[in-house]
Amino acid sequence: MQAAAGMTVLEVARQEGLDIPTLCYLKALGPYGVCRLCIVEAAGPGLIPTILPSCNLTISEGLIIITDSPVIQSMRRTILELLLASTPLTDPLKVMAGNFGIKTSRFTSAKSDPCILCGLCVRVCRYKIGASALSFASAGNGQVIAERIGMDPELCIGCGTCANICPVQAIQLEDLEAERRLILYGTVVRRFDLLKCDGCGAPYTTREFIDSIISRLDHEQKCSLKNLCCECARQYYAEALTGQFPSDG
Amino acid sequence: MASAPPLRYGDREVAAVIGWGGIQVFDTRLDIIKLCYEYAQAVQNNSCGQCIPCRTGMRVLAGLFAKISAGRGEKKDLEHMEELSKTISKSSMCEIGQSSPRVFLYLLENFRDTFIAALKGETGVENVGSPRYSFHSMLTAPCMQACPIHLDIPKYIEEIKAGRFRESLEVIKSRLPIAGIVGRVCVRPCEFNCRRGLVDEPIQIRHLKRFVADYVRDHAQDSSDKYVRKPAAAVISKQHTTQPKVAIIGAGPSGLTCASFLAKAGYNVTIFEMLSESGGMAAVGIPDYRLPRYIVRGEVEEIEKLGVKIVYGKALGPSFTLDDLEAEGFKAIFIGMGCHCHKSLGIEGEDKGYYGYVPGVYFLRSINLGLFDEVPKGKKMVVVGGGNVAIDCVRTAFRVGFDESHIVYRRSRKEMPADQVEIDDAESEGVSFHFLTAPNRVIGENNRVKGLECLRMQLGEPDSSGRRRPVVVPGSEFVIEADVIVAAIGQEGDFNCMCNLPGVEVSKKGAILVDENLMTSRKGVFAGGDCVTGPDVLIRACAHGRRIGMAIDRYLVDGSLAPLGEVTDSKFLEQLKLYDASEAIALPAGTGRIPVRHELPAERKKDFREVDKGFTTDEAVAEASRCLRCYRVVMYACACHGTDEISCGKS
Repeated sequence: MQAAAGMTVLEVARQEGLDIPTLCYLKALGPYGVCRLCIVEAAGPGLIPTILPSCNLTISEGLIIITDSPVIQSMRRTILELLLASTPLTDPLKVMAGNFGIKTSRFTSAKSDPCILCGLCVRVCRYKIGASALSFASAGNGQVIAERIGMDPELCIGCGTCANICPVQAIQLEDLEAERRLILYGTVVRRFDLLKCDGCGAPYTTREFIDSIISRLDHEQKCSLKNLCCECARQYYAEALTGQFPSDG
Repeated sequence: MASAPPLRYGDREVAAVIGWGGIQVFDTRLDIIKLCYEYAQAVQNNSCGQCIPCRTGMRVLAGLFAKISAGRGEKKDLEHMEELSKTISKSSMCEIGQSSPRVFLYLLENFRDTFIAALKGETGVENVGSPRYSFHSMLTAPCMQACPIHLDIPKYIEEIKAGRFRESLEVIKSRLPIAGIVGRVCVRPCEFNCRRGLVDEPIQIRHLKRFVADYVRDHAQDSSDKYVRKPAAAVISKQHTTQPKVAIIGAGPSGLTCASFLAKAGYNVTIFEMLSESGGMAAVGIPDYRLPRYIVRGEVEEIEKLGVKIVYGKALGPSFTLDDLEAEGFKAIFIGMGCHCHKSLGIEGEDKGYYGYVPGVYFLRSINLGLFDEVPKGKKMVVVGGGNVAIDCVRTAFRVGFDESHIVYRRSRKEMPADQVEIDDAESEGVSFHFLTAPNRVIGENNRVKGLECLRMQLGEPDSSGRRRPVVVPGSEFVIEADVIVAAIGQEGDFNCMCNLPGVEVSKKGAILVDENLMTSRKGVFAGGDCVTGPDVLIRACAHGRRIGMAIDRYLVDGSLAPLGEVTDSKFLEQLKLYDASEAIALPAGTGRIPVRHELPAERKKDFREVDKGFTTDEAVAEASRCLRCYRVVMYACACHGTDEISCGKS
């Protein structure tokens, strides 16, 4: 098989229509390799036959990959059952369990929240938003693993990207009139006052989020920043482009 | 299983040890299933919690061991254990998950009868007279074990990978206060024990350390910087507590590390420094192009901020005595005065007082202290020696105006003890190497050095150090013309000072003698660093400083002089082979280390600008991503005798 240099095995497989299950992979965030469901058998020149995750395995000349084998199936199944043992059956898991024909898990666990610890929220908060408010809880050595995502409320800017990206709604965002609540595993972890749109007066975002955006702008951009909600902003710039300025001003 | 002589943990016999690669049971009364449960639990506690197989799988596995141990096991549990162990070890992200369950697979295969018996409720614990056991787990890695101060290297690399640079630096600083210094000049034993090196090339551990130290220093005040967003934990100043006064002699790497440790613990620390500059050999023995002075000063300032007082221009002997310090109320004293006297070459003409003959340590010190008048002038320099000091001298020559710089070493390039990277850098700057050449006579004329008479050597039989002994080729005398000759074949302690310390025993070689707590024969007086080991690497001096800090703390708190638990742990781990250079690792090669950018030789050799430029953020994160996280969880069990359960090591 031929593919462009620098591609990963997972990318090539998807391009070729081969199904490899993943939970933590998202194109926009790149490979992470924590769900371990994308494991494949790998061998090749200078490589002892082994099992590796395909999401961060870069292709090379002569690399031999088996995406599906009884060994791989059995391991993916075990991993999935571990997940099913520790979380209630939520959508992505339900679909995947159906594909594997798993009805119940052989293992038992006491965990009760829907979080599958895919880490998408942690990564998007750190690498795309730059707030680093989320982390794997107690990822320190020698501590009991909480199997949860932890949040540092001080660092949160209330943008809500984590809630949007979470595949199982373990993190939720709730706007109640002028207050925004960030809910992690059913508990409100941070409350924000919402700013009001200069156009329509509706509450639309947090001061912290605006500050975070401003800190990335140059002087000229800062000056042209308007406190407008999405709808008003759309209207404002549409009118600006067509030469008709907002009539209410 | 019980054939080998029992391993020892300190003065205790170990009942069993279980680890990443296997199990050794010395006391057959020990219940293996209980041991497995404890081990699985310890592994889970050390899991980083990111990947599913290790995080959840180990917990489920520990639960199954507990179930069987309690006599509630079923046949299918054994199958599940096997399945889980296999899946965890094959599919986990890092070596905690990959390496630890292998031992379970081994036991399930070879000791199946024990497990089947346990299913029926027949466990071995009820054996009459069977003692109770305590279990003690340790987390290590090949790099961590090789590091004299045992930095948690995989941890601080993981933090870099995650973009948490301040947290990364804090991992380093919890043991080593001078990350920027060590991150520049360490001889990096860790990198020689890095398993990534068995796949392609070792991780650039030292440069990563330097990267976080520099990054955090440069961006500490920038609250919008996403890599150091979380503000630093406020330094808890305990200066006003009533902890006793401690005196430290010498503001070198060991003294600074010890001071930092003790100040954080609330002690009132004063350092007495002989020179006008702190940093010890890091400041006056290493040229600025490798370690700029502002780095040393910056890190010393950080230590001063902890409340440490540094008194300059005060030397033990001429300025004060140990009795003086004790009279002033210092409850403990740490001597970390280093090894600043040079070894002479022992050749003719050396002691004639010719202008242009200078020992290496004095040459470097004069330059580092800005005393250029004391540096002999000329066009051509010859350095004798093959260690790092010799290389520092020969490279410095160009930077203080010499046109030619030669190095004379009696063995071949392969035997040269200097850092390979340093040797390569010296070569690219145009240093002339004379291997298999020994100095024979310093030639002088009009009271000035005129040249060095040398002899050709050839390599004979290996000597006690394993290196082939150089033998003189008779009649091979030749002369290398020189204006300046630098002798850099080693240092020794200051005999004059050491021999005048009442109650402190000193060896014939000029090193202070210490016990395993690094205490001298005089009670309450500790010694560490080069003045104990002889000239050695910086990181080992820091390790001494930290150990002495802990020892002094304990000595002053409860007068205890028992060996430190951490030191015993490290000695125990030394018995196990953590790094196997012949290991074949099933990972694709080809992601080599990221090279560090550096100044071009032709430009840099004219001044003292720093040669290495360090990593950019992207480079550091990419390099950190290469780490395999070769953590190893090791656990040993000890029988508890009588009532001494508290001292059983279960801390």
